[in-house]
Amino acid sequence: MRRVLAGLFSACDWGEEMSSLNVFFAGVGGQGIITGASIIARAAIASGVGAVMSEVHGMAQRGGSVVCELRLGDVHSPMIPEGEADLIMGFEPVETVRSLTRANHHTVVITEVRPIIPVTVSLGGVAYPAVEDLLAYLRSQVAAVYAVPATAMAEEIGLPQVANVVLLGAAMGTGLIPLELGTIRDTLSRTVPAKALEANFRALQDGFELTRKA
Amino acid sequence: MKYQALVDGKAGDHELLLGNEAAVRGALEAGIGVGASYPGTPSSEIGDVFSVVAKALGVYFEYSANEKVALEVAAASAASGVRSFTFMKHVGLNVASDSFMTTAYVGTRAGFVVLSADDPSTHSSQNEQDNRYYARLANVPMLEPSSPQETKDYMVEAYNISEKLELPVLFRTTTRVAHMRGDVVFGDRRPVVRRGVFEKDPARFVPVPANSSKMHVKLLGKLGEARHLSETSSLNRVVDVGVGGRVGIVTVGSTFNYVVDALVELGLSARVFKIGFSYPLPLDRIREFAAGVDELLVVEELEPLMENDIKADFLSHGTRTPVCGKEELLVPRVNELNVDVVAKALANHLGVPLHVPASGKAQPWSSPLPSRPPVLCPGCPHRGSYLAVRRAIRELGIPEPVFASDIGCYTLGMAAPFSAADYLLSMGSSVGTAGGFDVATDQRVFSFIGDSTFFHAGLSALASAIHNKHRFVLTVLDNRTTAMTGHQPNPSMLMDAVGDPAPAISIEAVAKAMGVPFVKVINPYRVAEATEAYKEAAQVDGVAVIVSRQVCSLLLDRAKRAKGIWQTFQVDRSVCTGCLTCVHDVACPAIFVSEGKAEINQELCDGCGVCSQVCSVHAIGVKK
Repeated sequence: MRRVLAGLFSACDWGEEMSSLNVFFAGVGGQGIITGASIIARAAIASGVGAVMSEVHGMAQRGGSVVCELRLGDVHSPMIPEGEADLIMGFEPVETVRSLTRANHHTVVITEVRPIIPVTVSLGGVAYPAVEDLLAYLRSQVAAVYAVPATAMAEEIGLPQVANVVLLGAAMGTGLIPLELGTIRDTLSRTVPAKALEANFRALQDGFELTRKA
Repeated sequence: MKYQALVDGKAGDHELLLGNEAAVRGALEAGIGVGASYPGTPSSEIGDVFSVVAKALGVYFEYSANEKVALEVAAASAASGVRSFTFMKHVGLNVASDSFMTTAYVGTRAGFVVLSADDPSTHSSQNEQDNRYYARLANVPMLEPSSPQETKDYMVEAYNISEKLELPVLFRTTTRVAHMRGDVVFGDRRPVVRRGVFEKDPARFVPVPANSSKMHVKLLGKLGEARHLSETSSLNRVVDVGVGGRVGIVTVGSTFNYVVDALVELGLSARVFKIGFSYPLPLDRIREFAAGVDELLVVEELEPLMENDIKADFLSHGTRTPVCGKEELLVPRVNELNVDVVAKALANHLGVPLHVPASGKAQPWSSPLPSRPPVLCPGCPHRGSYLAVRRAIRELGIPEPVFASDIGCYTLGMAAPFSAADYLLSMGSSVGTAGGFDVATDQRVFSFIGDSTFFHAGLSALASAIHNKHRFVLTVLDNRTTAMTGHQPNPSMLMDAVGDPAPAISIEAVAKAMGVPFVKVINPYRVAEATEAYKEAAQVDGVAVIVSRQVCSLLLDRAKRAKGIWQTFQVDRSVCTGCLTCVHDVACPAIFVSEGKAEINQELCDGCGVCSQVCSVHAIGVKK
């Protein structure tokens, strides 16, 4: 799909040649991937930007690969064509690399750095590659890679479950997503339980600062 | 309350909804009084929402023991004048089909909608059958939405059509519509009519032979009316992509989304006939449409159903416009479609270059990445059951046992190291097929069925096995829920679909009452005891039933966290000998190998303790 350029924050002013933004989420079941994608989608709709998502539910409750596809703008299919992701949100290093089939050389990648070793590795399957090698390979293939220690940052905040919101903040920090940070905050206020709201706000801000400075 | 917006939402409100959530809002806007289902992905979230909202709106909702019962509850309600809704996954309609076929004969009084959520690409199913055949088989009208908004809107229309024709309406979605999330604008909600009166009319409702042939004639008449409704329906409409398109494309459901995006991507203009009322097809309008284009392409997922209808119609009417379908366009008959597949087919057929990202695609990692298939969760009680049965078989030296499996999370026992699923057909098939293996081979047979699946289709199969003197060990993996579809209740539980108290049926009492000679309840977290039980069961000359009871670890973990009684296990590296028995026998996602010794991921461990029981040197203990 035609690309949205970084820094275009005016939701109604994408122009004819910049009609969609494709965000591909990849990780492991139980990491809050669908929740994270839904927050962007809700914020988009609140801003008058079209949003469609595709999720796969079912067998992988925990431990299996999970993907979620989000498309903002004027599109019909909720699935991102091969090589057409503008932004990849990787919640686990190997899963981030696995999603390169959706990437092109202009794609921006945000990835958690902490691995979750699949049980197949312990059972004698393919060894888990070194995280530095995975990151180096990502850097060789796409326009920019933001390596985010999201789980560690969430632990620092005191609520490991907000790692997904750290990554969300990091995505906002890149300026690629044509929404205001305040709209994301408003969406969090409407969807997150009150007692966890402060931790979510901090996670969003910490992630945002990390990539904005980078 | 979760889903409050679905209850309170007013006409004009916007909400980001999953297709399945939109189906509920549509049913509520249609004023349904009764809903009944058996959970099955990709339809499961529909029931999850009804479980939460039904009582607040005065709507009756139940999880029936299986899809056939659910359909019967809804059909009788609709015959009594109450708008009714039943929904299921595609293979669920196979179970319900015996009654479904005849609901077309007897018809309905109030609106009656049967939703089938199909699963092209078998994301969570045993096959990818195309349930659009059922509309043709039963002679009932069918609607197919493309998006959450249409799912909501078409539901309302489905009830109107059902009442107009006094027929059930088949409402067919697919995974990519059911699990698509998008903006939905609400309409008004019709008041709920919860109770009606059943007015007797045997000539209409009792299909004995004297009545049924007349009913069939009447049904075919209604199908003619349905065709007329389809011809005039706004659900069938032409969408122009670009200007001056000379190519016509007929498409339906989620494929419409791919066709439009593919045309935009390729920079092509075309006239798209979007079908929403898909059986009977509006063939007169399609013929008129074809007259205005150079050629007609039919793009549809799975079977060439619209294509065959259109080709036959054009042939009989002498319509000259060429029709291209599956074979001409090289659109596969397997798996779901997507923008890439459709764009490739269109580019190839129309002779335009395929769009590629200006910068070139990224190259995948050159060597294989570690795979991450779905696995039994940390703490999953099925792990203990499989571990015990494997140990018992090893200790007894049983050669080549056959494992007859069933539909549930436990089918994942197929993977190493358990390799405990050798044959699988459908819900309940573990019991019938176990008997078959016993009758036809000298191999020992072990079959596995879940608690919900046992009540779904295991009961009559068990009766049959006992009466016919089959010999096998049947394990009912009783995790106190219907886990795989998202933890819905079942008849062995003390709570019904809307959270009210309900009588629980004891699985072991049922088995005993049926005359099973060996019935034992085990706790799969106690590996040694469970292994002994299996060794005993394997000696029984007949059906032995083991009820392996331990609540699903996802539910148990939630309860433990809420009560603050969380514990995890850890490996004492000074004691661990690196034999890795825990890794290879237990295969828990929380256990991994670090520098030759076992290590436990503290974020994943749920404290079930099964691994500590297989460690011969007691290196695994509760983390202090």
